[in-house]
Amino acid sequence: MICSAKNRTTTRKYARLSQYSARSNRASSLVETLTGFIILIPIGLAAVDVVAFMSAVDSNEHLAEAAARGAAKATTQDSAQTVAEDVVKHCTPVWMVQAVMVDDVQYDPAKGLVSVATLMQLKLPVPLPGYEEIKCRASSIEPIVSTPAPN
Amino acid sequence: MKTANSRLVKKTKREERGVSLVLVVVSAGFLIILVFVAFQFYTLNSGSREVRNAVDAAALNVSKQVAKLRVPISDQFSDVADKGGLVGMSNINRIWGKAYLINANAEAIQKEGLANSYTAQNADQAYRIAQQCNDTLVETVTCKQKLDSFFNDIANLRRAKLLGANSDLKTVDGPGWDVAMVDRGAASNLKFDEKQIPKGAGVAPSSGGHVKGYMPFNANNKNFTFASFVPNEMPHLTTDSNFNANDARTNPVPGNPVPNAFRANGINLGTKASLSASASSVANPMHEYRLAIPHAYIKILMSNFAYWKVKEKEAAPKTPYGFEPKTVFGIKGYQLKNNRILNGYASLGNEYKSGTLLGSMNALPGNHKEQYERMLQRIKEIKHDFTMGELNAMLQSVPPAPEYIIYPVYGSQDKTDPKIRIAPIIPGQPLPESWMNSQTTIDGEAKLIVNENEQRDEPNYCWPQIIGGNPDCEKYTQVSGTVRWAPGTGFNSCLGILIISRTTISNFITE
Repeated sequence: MICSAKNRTTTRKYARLSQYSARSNRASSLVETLTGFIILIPIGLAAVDVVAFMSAVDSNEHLAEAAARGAAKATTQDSAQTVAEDVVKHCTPVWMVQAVMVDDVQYDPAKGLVSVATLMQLKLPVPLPGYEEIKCRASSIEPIVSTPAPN
Repeated sequence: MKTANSRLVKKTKREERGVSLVLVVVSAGFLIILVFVAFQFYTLNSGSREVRNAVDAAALNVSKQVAKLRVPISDQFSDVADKGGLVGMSNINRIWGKAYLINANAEAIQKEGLANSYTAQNADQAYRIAQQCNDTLVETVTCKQKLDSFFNDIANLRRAKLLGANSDLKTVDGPGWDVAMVDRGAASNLKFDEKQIPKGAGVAPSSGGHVKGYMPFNANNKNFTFASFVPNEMPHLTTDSNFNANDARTNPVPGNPVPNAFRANGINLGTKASLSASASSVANPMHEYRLAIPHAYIKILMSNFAYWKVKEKEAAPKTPYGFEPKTVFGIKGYQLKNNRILNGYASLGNEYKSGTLLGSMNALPGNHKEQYERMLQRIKEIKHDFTMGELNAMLQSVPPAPEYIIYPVYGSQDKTDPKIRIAPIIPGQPLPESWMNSQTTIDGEAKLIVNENEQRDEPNYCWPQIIGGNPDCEKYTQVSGTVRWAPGTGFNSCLGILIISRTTISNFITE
């Protein structure tokens, strides 16, 4: 009888320990998951920003190329500027692009080259402290094709 | 028992904790690798695009710059060369245009049976000069070193930076550049009008008033092929399929014409990757010319002779007379029967009473239309839009004279703005333009084209003076003329000579 009572006490004790252990496990998993999130989420968000940034840089380079090709068909500095601005105006930027503009047009008939630089201002999908807005610049050089060969 | 259980619980807890941590680390690592791979992919993709765009720009530069290459040409064709006396893509069709006109003239001369020993010789020489210049230009515009240099002008400015800071874009090593003749059958940069071509000669195929490019045709048994340079087009990129379909090696055009398309094969040697790309571009010098022989002229020669006859026999030597009405004492003291003496007079030069060259040319009746048509066709070889009205007005503006020259003057250095002038030729004095003064050989025989109907007693008339007896004497004049045309090929600048010969015979019939 005594033995039986002792056994019951031990069982109760182990049950309590097991309950404690389960609670402790759950807490520990929660902490680990939270820690994981704290590590993974910033990495994931940074990845989103990186992808968005790369996409914007890519489209800016496309735009600079298109603007330079357009300006190459112009006959003066002013018309080259106008053409480049037209190209930029008619582009459809991705949602995160806040502003896009022609930064510089160098029309050099002596060298037979035109260079166009475009500036894109974009808002990162996940704002980074101090880097909520990023400006990226792309430039392209094309031969001027509008001027006739010398004769 | 207690200790064993406790150890088991602790171990289980540690393992569970470890699993979560490993999962976090693996996930973080996976994400980082994913971002890294994405970045590398982006770098490669963008680098590849940079290379393609750079090769496109460099190819375009080749098409742009290749039109600046020039080669020299013989003096006989200096009038269709540029201001430096050179020939490039811009004016090679102009060279062929002049050679074609000379050969078309020669063909028409031969078909009319007016050829002499110089006709074929001059036509052949013109063709040879054009072909030689063309072949030299083809060699120059396909020269690998020159094309590489044009490519590198842009390639040096447009490196693919994403493939490495020291990446180097250059042309792929090989024997030479691929070239093509695209836009076959499209317009060349040489405008022409069918009225410029003499009757009987092969007419160049036309596309909207331009000679068709890369469309061989025949004139004077010679093959002519012009290069296509579509009007109002700038140098531009073209597709590889278009280039391949018109490749000079696999699909050549007879006559070795100057190619108008070039394929650039570029390779970017970078530290991260080496990528190659190719681009094809079409050249266009963006200059248009008119089919013409800029340094050419035609001449008008007029001569008048008076013949003096008594009873159908020549009573005095023939005498030339001038271009204004004048009384000429032609027969002086001609001995008649019964000691009578005849003095014969005539009023000559009345056909020039109008005081103008045009009036003088039309003074005697006859079908004069042909002489003006022939002159106009030849003048159109100098100035395509010269009209019959302008020709008449020009002939109306000057007085009659023994020799005239109709020639162009130019304000521009490339001789593309002709103004037609007429000037008398004064013996012993140089001709109005220095290029006219070289020795010329007439390369066509003269042909009678207008027979002016004989007129009696008009516009010239005669009268006798008889001394010592019966004054009866019948008299009349016969005034007639011919117009002959000696065509020229234009090789020696002479496109033709109009020869007008007038004759007045003063007849006296008495015993």
